[in-house]
Amino acid sequence: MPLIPDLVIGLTLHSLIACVSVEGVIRALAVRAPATRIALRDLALVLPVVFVPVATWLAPWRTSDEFLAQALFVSQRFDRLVVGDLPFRQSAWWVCAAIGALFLARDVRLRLHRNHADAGRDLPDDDARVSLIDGLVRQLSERMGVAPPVVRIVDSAKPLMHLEGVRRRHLLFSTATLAHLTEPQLEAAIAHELSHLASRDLRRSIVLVSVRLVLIASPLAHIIARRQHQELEWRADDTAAHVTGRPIALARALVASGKAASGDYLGLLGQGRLEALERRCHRLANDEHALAEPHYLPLSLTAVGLLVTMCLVS
Amino acid sequence: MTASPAAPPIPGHGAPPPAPTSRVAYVARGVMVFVVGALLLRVADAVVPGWLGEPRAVIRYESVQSAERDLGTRLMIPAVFPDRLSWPPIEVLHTPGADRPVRMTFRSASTGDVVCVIAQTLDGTAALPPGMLVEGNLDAHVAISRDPDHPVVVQVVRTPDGTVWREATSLIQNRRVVIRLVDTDDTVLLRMVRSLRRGRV
Repeated sequence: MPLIPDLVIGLTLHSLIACVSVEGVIRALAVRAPATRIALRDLALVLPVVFVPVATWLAPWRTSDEFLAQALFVSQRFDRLVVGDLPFRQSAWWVCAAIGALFLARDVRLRLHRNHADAGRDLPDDDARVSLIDGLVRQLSERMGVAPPVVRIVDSAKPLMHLEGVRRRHLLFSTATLAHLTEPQLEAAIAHELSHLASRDLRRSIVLVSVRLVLIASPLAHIIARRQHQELEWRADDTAAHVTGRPIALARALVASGKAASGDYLGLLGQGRLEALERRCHRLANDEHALAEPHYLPLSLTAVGLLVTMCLVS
Repeated sequence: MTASPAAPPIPGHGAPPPAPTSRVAYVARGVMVFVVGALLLRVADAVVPGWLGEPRAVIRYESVQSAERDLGTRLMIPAVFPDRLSWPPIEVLHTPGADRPVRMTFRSASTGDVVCVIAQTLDGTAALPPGMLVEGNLDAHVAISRDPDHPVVVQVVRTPDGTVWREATSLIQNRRVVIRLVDTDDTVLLRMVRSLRRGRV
């Protein structure tokens, strides 16, 4: 009985192939629209998770000698090479799993650190700031066609602004955020958060984390999932810029929040975060923030290409 | 009824879908990604088996001589070769597996049926890989090992097509050699096993 079942190793292998292929397609076809890139990366993350169990279940011929003689990366061939007392595929899986776990732990830690409210207390409902934000949220929700979330403002020196809650959505602000942003900037930032709400990005994030747990040993899946988060932010920026017509206000809000958070310990990760912030501002300032529906030609091409490739791999 | 006016284009709208004239080139570029990817996977797939000196898939040789030339060693062939078997073998296969397994199949000189199979490993005494010999039910098991340095195990095996084989497994000169012969007793089979040597006499 192998330490790691062949199915799990197959899943990781297919995920690595799917991730490389999708990134290859994005570059070869110069796919720029965030919506298309999001759809392509969804395909890279989800297709292996679905394909491998379904193919194992529905295509028992994949275990026949004839198929295994032709298929790629068959365990019978690879496992005759032993590395560290383990068959090759198993030892390679453990190495990849260690790298993947590091990626995942780093991202979870960063997210927890970023969203931690330092136990600030909620402002009372009759506070003028609560009424102002609530009015803005209701007005923008109506324009964007989403149910307005419950506004929650916490008294905290840390700049916070994000959606929380899976069933009942809360839009959380900190007093530091309100102090640093002007009204147009707040409007643009709220539109950004409401765009996440409209696109169900919170649920998508939960699915992404689940997929990352399943594909723990696929470092490329973790990298793609991180890119996916970035793309979701870009798409929310695009929607906010389109709805409010104020891309520069949103860019300024991002910079103001970034400056206010500069006291946080960010370490090496902070460097990447600042670069991401810079890139988002650059997109907003240079009219790269257009909304676009996903293009189905690269999507269908990639889906067919991935399925054919996956059929060749054990 | 009047048609609703088309929505105004959004400035800087992502990458536009390709025009029909360039669509073929666009699809070709996408297909190229997967073709190049498949070729790279094929190369990567050959790395570990190549490292181990094993073929990726079954290799079929035209003759014993071409197999010996390619594998760089002489195959174990019994010097006692019954007249009822036709020479040369109808197939010589080198399959993936530990210690470079090779299989030769012989027909009956009179009926043309497959009546003898000789399988052997070239670099050690590892077990033959699954599928190298047709799986069968063990009808009888007779252990014969008069010489401890040259153990021979004989058993009677019935394959799914109903054929009853006498099968002798021997470890000789750091090789595992299995001879399967359609016969009614072990006499000829044992003479063949004991006459095994490298190359045909």
